[in-house]
Parts: sequence; structure tokens; C-alpha cells
Amino acid sequence: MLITLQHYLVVSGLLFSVGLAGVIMRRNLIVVYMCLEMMLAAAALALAVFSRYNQNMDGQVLVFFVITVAAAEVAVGLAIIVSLFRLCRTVQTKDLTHLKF
Amino acid sequence: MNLFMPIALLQHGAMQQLPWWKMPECWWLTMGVLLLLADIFGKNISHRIIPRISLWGLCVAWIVAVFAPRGAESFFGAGYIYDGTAYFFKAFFVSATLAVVWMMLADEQERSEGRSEYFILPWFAMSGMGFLSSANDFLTMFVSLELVTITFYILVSYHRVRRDSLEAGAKYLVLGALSTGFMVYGIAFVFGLTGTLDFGKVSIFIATHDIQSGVAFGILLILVGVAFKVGAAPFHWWVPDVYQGAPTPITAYLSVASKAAGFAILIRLLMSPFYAIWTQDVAGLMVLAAVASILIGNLGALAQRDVKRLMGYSSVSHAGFLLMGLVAATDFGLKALYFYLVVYALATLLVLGLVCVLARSLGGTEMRHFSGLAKRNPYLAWMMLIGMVSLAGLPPTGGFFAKWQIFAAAWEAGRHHLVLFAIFGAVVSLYYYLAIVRKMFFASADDEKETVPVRVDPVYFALLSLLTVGTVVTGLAPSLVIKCIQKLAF
Amino acid sequence: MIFWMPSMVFWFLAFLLLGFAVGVVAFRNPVSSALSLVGVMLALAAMMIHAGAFFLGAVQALVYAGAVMTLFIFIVMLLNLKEETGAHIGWAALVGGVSAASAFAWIVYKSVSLMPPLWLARVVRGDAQALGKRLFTHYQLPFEITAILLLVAIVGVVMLSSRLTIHEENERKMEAGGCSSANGNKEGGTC
Repeated sequence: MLITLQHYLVVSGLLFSVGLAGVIMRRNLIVVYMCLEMMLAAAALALAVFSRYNQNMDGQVLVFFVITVAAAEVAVGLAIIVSLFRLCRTVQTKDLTHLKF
Repeated sequence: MNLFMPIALLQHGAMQQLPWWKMPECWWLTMGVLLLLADIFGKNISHRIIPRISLWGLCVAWIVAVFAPRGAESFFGAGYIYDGTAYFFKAFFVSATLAVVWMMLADEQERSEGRSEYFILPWFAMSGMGFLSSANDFLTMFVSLELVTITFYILVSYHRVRRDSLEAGAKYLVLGALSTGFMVYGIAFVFGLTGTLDFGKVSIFIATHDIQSGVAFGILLILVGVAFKVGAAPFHWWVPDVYQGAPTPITAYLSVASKAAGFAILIRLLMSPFYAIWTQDVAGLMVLAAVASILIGNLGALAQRDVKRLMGYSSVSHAGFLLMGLVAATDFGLKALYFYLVVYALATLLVLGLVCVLARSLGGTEMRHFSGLAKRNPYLAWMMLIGMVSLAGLPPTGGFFAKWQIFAAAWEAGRHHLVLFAIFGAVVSLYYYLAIVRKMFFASADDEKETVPVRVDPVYFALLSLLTVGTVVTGLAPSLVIKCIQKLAF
Repeated sequence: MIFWMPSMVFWFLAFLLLGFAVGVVAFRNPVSSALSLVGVMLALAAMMIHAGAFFLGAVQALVYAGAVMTLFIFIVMLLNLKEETGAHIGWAALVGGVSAASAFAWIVYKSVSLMPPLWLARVVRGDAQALGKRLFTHYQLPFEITAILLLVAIVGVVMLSSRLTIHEENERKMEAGGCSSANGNKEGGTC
């Protein structure tokens, strides 16, 4: 069986779904953040494959930016999580209940 | 103005780049970097002068953005468009940033020691939003959107010793990153099946091909990502929490500028890549989102006790009203949308500005803290009244004409049910907007200490007065404001 | 044989990728999750190379598995996160997560399977050069915006984690009472 574009897309869709499930299910902020990175990585895979399918470099350029942006986001995100931990000694989403009406 | 742009885009053939000195964002970024350098090298005095320099710089930027003559010709280049829409939004973003930094200055003077970045980061957010309003391909759109979002993560969690601020930051972070994920995945599908990232080429592909399921899927995901940013209904969960927890000036920044940035993207997408399918398919989704936003925003706001959280729900419902202007996809609808944005921005900045200045002297941001305000400082109470009346959409203020215009646009597009529903929503909103007014004027203060007059810094009073005058002027002379918008944006 | 080999590699990588991905979600211990994520990123890099994006595969391995994951593991170690006790996934969350994920996967599968089989074109040689050319000419503007983005990220991280100012110290002492986390606040806020 030859591998077509669709095979890659299904794999990337599954990876995205697993990431989405993790974001919804997990209670540890850092693990949630890892799952978000997984979703971005799934999008990067889809873009890279689409780029080859279209014989067009734009998709790969976008992957390049996705990686950069994700790295910046991780840096800022982990800084926020660490600040939260320093203040409240928790990284559990269930403890984030201070804001309510 | 012709809504559909790709033909104009294609005429230019080879894509060129606008020289950097013609992009206002480059000047804003230069200013931001210079301020950062000043912060490093002016150790002992920097925290006192940088907020002021930042504010004065924004005044200059505002004068340039609003009054500098716009060349008649629009520019369409690689990734960057400079046309009426971009011009209008840039002026809007500068105005919002100016008001917000002014607010920060009044709020944060003494605690900003060693942390002047708070006053510098809005320059970067503003540049990001400027680039966003000029984006001409999905790549530029994505990168500038991320610049805005990441800056906002930092600004929201600025009060790092307050639990509220950090919690809001963490929530905004997770949900913001989630929306980024959706958007990138959507862009991947649109790119993959149309073969290009350029707005003009995508629009031509969509206009000339039957819409495939994959492309439709991609478009849907992109719209989900944008809905997160504007805080429209099925994707609004983050709004109340983040608005409540963020520092008040940042709440104002989020609810005005960040929302407008989302609408800038939507308008860009409407004008070119998704134009061909807008009226049949996308407009239906917009109607659903508008109905859900108005419903959830208004019902959610009814139960709130905290004014900032209430403003969060209120901003969800306003996102619904704003979406109504896009349903029509006509010049009239767009004009109504711009007018609504201006009116909404003035009233929201006014209300949150008042909350910001009063929070300290009243002891909190909950509704009960505001009771008896009319006796303690009648000017502020009247300003709050004007802001709330404008948000509710009652006649003498701009809010009434804004709602009127937007309803007329949607009615013209044949969305009669939507308009009737929105009118119902607007009536419900009267209850919670006027509840706080009732508290201020008719409820007596809870306890004895609450009779001391409230004083306000004159610098800050000037900002509030300006916003009040703006709100009143948009109500008394709407045609004048619409003429200005027409001149800027079309 | 020629047709058979690449597809075997593909299936192997896909299996590895999704296995590690499930691991990230399922492991109790954040360190195990982080190490699984390294696995995901490496498998993904391999998959990109298999799909013909050689340069990106290398970048993916270097930046993600190299830099980003180091940061993650460093933070997990720094915060000294223990294995989660009790149920680390609630029932409601499990149902919600699985249904959302399967709905999403089903939509992807549907919209993909409606297309005719799309054959991949032959691999472009010298993709780093082509990518660089595109990046530094046509996409020069977004490239420069990312420079600003990284600057903002640096400023933000410094701002969030620099030493508390005197004013903030005082405020933190007042605030500490309002902090009611599961583990209490007995250790104070020094980290």
C-alpha cells in the first residue's frame, strides 16, 4: 500500500485529538501545556506534508514560524506557571478557583 | 469601497514591500525598543520618567495616526496592505492604547518601581495589532496575532503577587494556546487544499472551485480561533475569569483593543479569502455565534456581583452585536460595525476607567462598593451613568445609534429574527446595566465610613472627562462621527 | 520491495508517535509525560524527514526535543512535582475529553476520506535553500515580526521572574492569607 497525503493527515489529526483530549482531561497545568504543544506539533506535521503535496515552500515556512512561536509561548507560559507556583504552591487546575462571581 | 479585493491585489503583479519608514508599526516598535533601552540604562530614574515618556509618545503617535493625511492610493504588498481598513484600525488601536496607558499611569505609579516594562509592552501589543490589521496572508496574520497574544499573557499576569492576576494569566494562557492550535490547524488545511497562503489567491481559489470538505473544515477551525479572540459565544469561557483577574487597565485593553483586533481579522477574511462563501455559509455561522453570544452574555451578566466580571459578560454580548454587522457583508454593515466599535470602546474605557480609579478608594470592584457613590462624588457617578447608558443602548448616548445602525444593517440583509432576538437581548441588558446605577444613586452606603468624598487625580479626571465627552458626542452628533469614520476607513 | 519499505517505516513511525502521545496524556508522573513528549517530538521529526521535509525535521528535533523539552523537564524538576496521588483524571473530564477528541478525529477522517487519494509529489532536493530563499524575501516581514515576538517573550519572562520589589514584597505578605491551595502555604513563597 502506498502512503498518500491522507495517511499523514489522519495521523496528524489523531495526534491533534490526543492533545485535545489531554487538554480537557489533565489537571496538571504543566501537562496541559505539554498537550497544547502536541496540538501545535500536529499542525506542523500537516503543514509540512501539505507543503510537499503542493510543491510549495510556504507551508514549510509556516512550520518554521509555528516552531518559533511555540518556543516563545512555552517560555512565557512556563514563567507564568512558575510564578503561580511560587505564590500558591500549586499547578493543579482544580485549585484555580479564586475567580468566580 | 469595493468589499472584494483580490482583483486589486492581482493587478499589482509582482509583490513588493512597503518601505519600512512608511509603516507606522516600525516607528512604534522603534519607540518600544528605545524605551526598553532607556529602562536598562537609566536605572534610578527610569521608573519615574518612562511611564510619562510612553504616554507622551503615544500622544504623538495618536496625532500622527489620526490626522496625518492618508494617501489616496492603497498599497497591496507582500503580506502587508495599507488601505482604509488598516488605516481605521491603526488609529483605533493607538487611541485605545493611549487611553489604557493613561489609565495605567494613574493606577500604578508607586508600584511600578523597577517594573517599567508594564508601560512599554503596550507599544509592542499595539504594533502587533497594527500588523494584524494590515495582514495580507495567513502567515503574517498568524505571527502578528501571536505577538499580540503573547504580550497579553504577560500583561494579564503583571500583578505577580496577586493570585487573581496569575490565575487569570494561566487561564488566558491555556485557552489562548488552545485557540492558536485550532487556528494553525485550520490554516494548514486551507493552505494544503488551496495551495497558497496569500489572501488574494485563496479567495480566487474559493471563488472558482467547489468547496471541498477539507477546505470547509479549515475555514471552520480558523473561525473558531478568531471567535476565541473576540470572545464570541461558544468560545467565551475565558472571558469572565480573565477580565476579572487581570489588572483593570489590562481588562480595558483586552475588551477594547484585543476584541477589535479579532474583528480586524474577521473583516480581512471577509474582504478577501472567504468572500465568495461569506453570505451563504459563513454568515449562517455568524448568526449562530451572534445569537449565542447575546444570550449567554446577557444571562451570565445578570447574576454577577463583581463589576469587572460583569463587564466581561457584557463584552461577550457586545461581541454578539458586533458580529451582526458582519452578517450583512455590505458597506453599510461595515460602517455600522466601525461605529459600534468606536462607541463601545469609549463607553467600556469610561466604565473600566472609573472602576480602576475607584477600586482603591471604594475598597473593591464589587457592585456593593459602588452604593452611595452619587453622594461621595457626583461627577464620577454621572460619568458612570453615561457609560452604562451607552452600553445599554439608550437614546441620548452613542450606544443607541450604534445599535440602531447595526440592527438596520442586519435587517436589510434579511435577518429579521436575529434583529428581533437582539432587541430582546438589549432590553434584558438594561436590567444589569442600570442595577449599578440604582446602587450609586439610590442605595445608601452600607456602613458609616462610606460618606467620605472620593477624590480623583486631575490627570486622570481629564481622561475620564474626555471619554465622557466622546460618549455624549457620538450620541448627539452621530452623523459627524460616521463622517469621520467614512473619511478614515473607506 | 521499493513500495513496501517506505510504507513500513511510515506505519512504524505513526505507531510510535501516537503511542508516545497517549503516554503524555496517560502517565501520572509529569516527568514521564515530559519524556513521552520528547518521544513524540523525535518521532514527529522522523516523520517529517520521511515526508521529505529534511531541514524542518532537523529543526524540530533540535528546537523541540533539544530546547523546549529541556525547559519543560527543568521546570518539572524545579517545582519538584510529585506523582499525582488519587485519580489524576476525573470521570467527567474523561468522558468529555474522549468524546471531544473522537469527534475531532472523526471530522478529520471524514473530511479527509471524502477526497480522492492525493499522491505526494516527489521530494524537493535542497529544501533548506528553497526555504531560506522564501523566508528572507517574500516572508521577510513576518520574519522580523518574530524577532520582536522573541524580544517580548524575553522581556516578559524577565519581568515575571525577576526579584520582587519592596512594594510587591509587602503586598505579597498581605495577600498570602487569601491563598488557599491544597498544599497550604506553609512553606512561604520562596522558590
